[in-house]
Amino acid sequence: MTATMPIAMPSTNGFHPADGVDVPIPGLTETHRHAFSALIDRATGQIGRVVGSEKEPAGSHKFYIWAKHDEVSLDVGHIVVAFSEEAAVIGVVDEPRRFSDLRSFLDDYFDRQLEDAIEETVPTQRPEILVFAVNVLRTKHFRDDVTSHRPPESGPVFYATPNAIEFALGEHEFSGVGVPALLHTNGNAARESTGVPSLNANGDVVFQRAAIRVDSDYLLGPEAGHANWTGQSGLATKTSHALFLTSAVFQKMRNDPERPRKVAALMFNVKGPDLLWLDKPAEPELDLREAYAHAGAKGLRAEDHEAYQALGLRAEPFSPFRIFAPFRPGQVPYTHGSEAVHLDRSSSPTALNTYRNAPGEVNGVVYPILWQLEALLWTPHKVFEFGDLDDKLFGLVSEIRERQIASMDQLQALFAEIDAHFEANPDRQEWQGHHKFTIMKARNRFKGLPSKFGGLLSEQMVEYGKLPRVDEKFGDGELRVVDIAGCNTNVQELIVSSVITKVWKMAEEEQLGVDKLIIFVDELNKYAPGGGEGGLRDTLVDIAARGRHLNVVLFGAQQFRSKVESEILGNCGTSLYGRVGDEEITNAAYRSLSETTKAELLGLPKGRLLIRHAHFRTPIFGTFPMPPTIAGMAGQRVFNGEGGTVGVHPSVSLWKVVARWDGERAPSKGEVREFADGLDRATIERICARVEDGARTSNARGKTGTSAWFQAKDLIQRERKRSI
Amino acid sequence: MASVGARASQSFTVQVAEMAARLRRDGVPLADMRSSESLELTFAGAVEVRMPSADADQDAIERIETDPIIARVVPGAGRGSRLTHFLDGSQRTLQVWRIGLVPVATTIAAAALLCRNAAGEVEIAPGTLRFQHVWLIPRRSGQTGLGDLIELIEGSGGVVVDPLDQVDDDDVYAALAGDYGKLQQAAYVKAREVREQLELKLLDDWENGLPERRDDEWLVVDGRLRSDVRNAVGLVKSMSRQQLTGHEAATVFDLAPGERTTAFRFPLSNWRDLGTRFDVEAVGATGKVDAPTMWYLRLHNSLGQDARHALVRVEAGKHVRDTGQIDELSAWLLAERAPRATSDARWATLLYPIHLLEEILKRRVDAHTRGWPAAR
Repeated sequence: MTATMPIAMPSTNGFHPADGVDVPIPGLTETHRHAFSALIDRATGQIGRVVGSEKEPAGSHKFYIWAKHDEVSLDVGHIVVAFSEEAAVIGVVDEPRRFSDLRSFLDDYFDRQLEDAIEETVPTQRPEILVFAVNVLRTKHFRDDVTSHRPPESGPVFYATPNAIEFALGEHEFSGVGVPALLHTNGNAARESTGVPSLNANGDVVFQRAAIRVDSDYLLGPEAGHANWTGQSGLATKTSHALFLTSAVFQKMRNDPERPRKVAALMFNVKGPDLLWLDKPAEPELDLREAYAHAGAKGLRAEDHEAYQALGLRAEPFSPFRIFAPFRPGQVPYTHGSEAVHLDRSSSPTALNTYRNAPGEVNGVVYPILWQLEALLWTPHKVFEFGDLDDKLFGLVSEIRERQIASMDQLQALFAEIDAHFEANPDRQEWQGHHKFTIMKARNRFKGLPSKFGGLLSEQMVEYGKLPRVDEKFGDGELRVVDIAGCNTNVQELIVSSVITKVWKMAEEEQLGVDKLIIFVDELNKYAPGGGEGGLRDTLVDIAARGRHLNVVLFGAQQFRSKVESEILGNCGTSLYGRVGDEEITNAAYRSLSETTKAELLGLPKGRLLIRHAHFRTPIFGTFPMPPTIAGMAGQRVFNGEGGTVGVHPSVSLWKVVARWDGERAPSKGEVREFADGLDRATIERICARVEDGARTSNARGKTGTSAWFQAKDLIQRERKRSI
Repeated sequence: MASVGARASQSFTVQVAEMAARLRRDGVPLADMRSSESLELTFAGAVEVRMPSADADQDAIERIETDPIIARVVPGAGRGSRLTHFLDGSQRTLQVWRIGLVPVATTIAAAALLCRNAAGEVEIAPGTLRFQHVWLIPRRSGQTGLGDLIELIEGSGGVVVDPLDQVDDDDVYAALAGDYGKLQQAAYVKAREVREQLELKLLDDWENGLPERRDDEWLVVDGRLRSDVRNAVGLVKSMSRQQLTGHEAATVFDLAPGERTTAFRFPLSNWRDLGTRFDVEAVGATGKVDAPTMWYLRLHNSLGQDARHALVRVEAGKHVRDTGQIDELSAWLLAERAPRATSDARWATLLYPIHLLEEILKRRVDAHTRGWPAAR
């Protein structure tokens, strides 16, 4: 999309009919006033003056203003407009300092230490001026074909209108879709159509807000790409914003009238149930209000709804949404006497290593990851310890791979064959050129693999059947979460590495299934440490360097930006900063930020971030609403019935199972609830599991006419009789 | 303010440069002096040095409260001060050219009233900021080219004042006009008069009720009170002349912080300055009837300092005679000790609002002469 800035911008803000006639503005020429009327909030009027001195002159990128005494709302982060000879200069307010003629602190002390107490007021107040630095975002010349770098002259300063902010953030130069990333709040009042300031329910003035949009071509490629979040865990709201931005990307890309595009996302859940309930709305449905309230899920606030509206977004959960997880250690399915484990027939959702395991909440959402040995043989450096993997072991692993050994069972058979070889030839020290000590060592190490990669590695062959796989093509708007939160580090690194490598390969083969794929990786400093040899470093660096051309973009987050590979950060077209700790902020990674900005970052509240983007000449603070989905822990309480809280009625799980298998024939939620009324949660969950197994078996045998509801009713009646 | 140049928007510096070019084209022998310092700097601190004389006529002094004059502790803390306005002026006299023996100078004078509200916030009282821009050129010097210059200035609306205009005798005039140093000195004195006239006009306005104010509000004038106006006091910071002698003078120098002398009046004939509006004829008859009431006041501790440190002379109208009122005025002035204008070397006797007003006026004058070579 090519957006162009209209030469005569509509004067929708700042000047209203209620202001009266279009009167001259002191300090501003008629030409300036006519050319830039839509950029300045004339209703609020002049808020200060540009000031330049010999020591601190106005420059192309930074200048100074002093604020009018009664302009008490002007503050850091606000966007203002000043003027050079032939251009409007739009910038972000930064670094406030109050100046007075007091030469030293002691002067004030002695002023107050005459006969009077310190509380006494002096008859004359020392004049103080509040001076702000302003970092230039953009200039707008009288002529559209001229780019001005001339610093502003001493003269009036006004608040910027949303039009000015839109221009300053370069939206007229966007080649892609504008994706709302944050909401900027200025110091001037938003106004009604009559021109009077808008007031909120408390009677307070509502401040002017404007969307901070990023260019999709610079977020998702091909011009630039990738986004990075940094900040303290639990305080910086990195994941919340990544989800918000992902949702915004989905909505805006899908609805681009000129070029609708399919986007999907792949995320790794590394902490608790953080990303497990992204298909559940933040706002409860009517029958879940009590459950949400008990779980501490407050839903969206009025300001969140307003923010979504202001940003042109809907607060909707992700759909389709799928979770992939390995099994719990020791619960990997095993089939006696069979060559392969058929996951579509035998896996139990509760056996998966994920917090989301309530019946009714897993079907159609949670799917297993289970590997046979073959997958590990291709990455011996990730499977065996560095000290173990010498040339000899590497050679034997290659031999095993070339013999197309695919499972642990087959490997055991091979070792048995080797044993027979040595028994038959007791004088021989080697088998196929491999020394028997090497073979003994390999056998020992392979033996430990099922334990080392507990829950991920099957001893048998694995058949997924019709089950979705984590590395298959993506669908439009799909959010795919790989849950590795409960896995040990070995499993975590292997899964992340393997999945990303496979997805990367799909991208290279143009087999993603969507136009753009977002890969969200938290804890980047673990997977791609600066200067280190992290398991995923090379792949992530490659994605950062080439991903935008292959339609794969990296959304990365970490607590310590300074400890992440600089090649990844350097390739990020968009960076966001939440609250940062003081040990971290002293690092060179933050040297381009002003001291005030750094100080702000030290105490940044939740929901407020600093954003850099390829189109922005200086970083800007903004806020974002609560994510459109329920928080992980709250979702766990509501939908997984944990924490002793009132969750979803257990009959809802049964209804979901029945509805999934019976489709349109399924009864209503109320009907199921009425029928199952009186049964406890455990009983209903048991019935759910049996109905699910039965339906799956019937389906596998091609018996499509069988009703899951019929079976459920039968099981319920049996339970009732048994309890009598 | 008079405009000299063809275009009002042109800076003064540019206007002067254009005038010089034109005069040179017309053959006027100009020597550029724009890089020399201002006359205020030239004559800064200069006092007329002469043999000390007992020029104070002690018999002419009227001791109002006590006889002899004594020290007195100012009661009260000065709360509820009604000092709400402050008057001061500033000038900058620039040497521009020399034509033959005659230095051509120009002065920019500014004066204003500073208004202070109940919250202690100050601003220039609306309508009181006055500017006067004057060229100082002797009209009767006979120097070739001066006439062309005067014609050029007055032709473009500028104002020319003769620094020797009070010299009637042609011989004396010719002698002074041929003395470069004395002409320069006369220009400085005239420039000072220009500024004093501005201040005096503001004092007249105050007497006439401008700016608008309550009846009980008072004005503090920086320097001598040059006119007998109501609700105004002058604050004299320099003690170049000693009115009292003997024990009474010692009483002045012995004043402790927060103490004042009892009030007195002094014959006007001893007053140095021109332009006073006190009734000279009346003084001639009585020697003291219309003279201002004055007293000394020590603002800060002078321990280890010159005897005149933090010592000011307060002048008030002739109607101020009551001890209670003088105490009250003194208390109000003492309350002005904080905040201190420590960025100015005269802070011990300089009231902070006056200091602010000076800063404002200096910046206004500087703005008017931006780009002047002497400022670099």
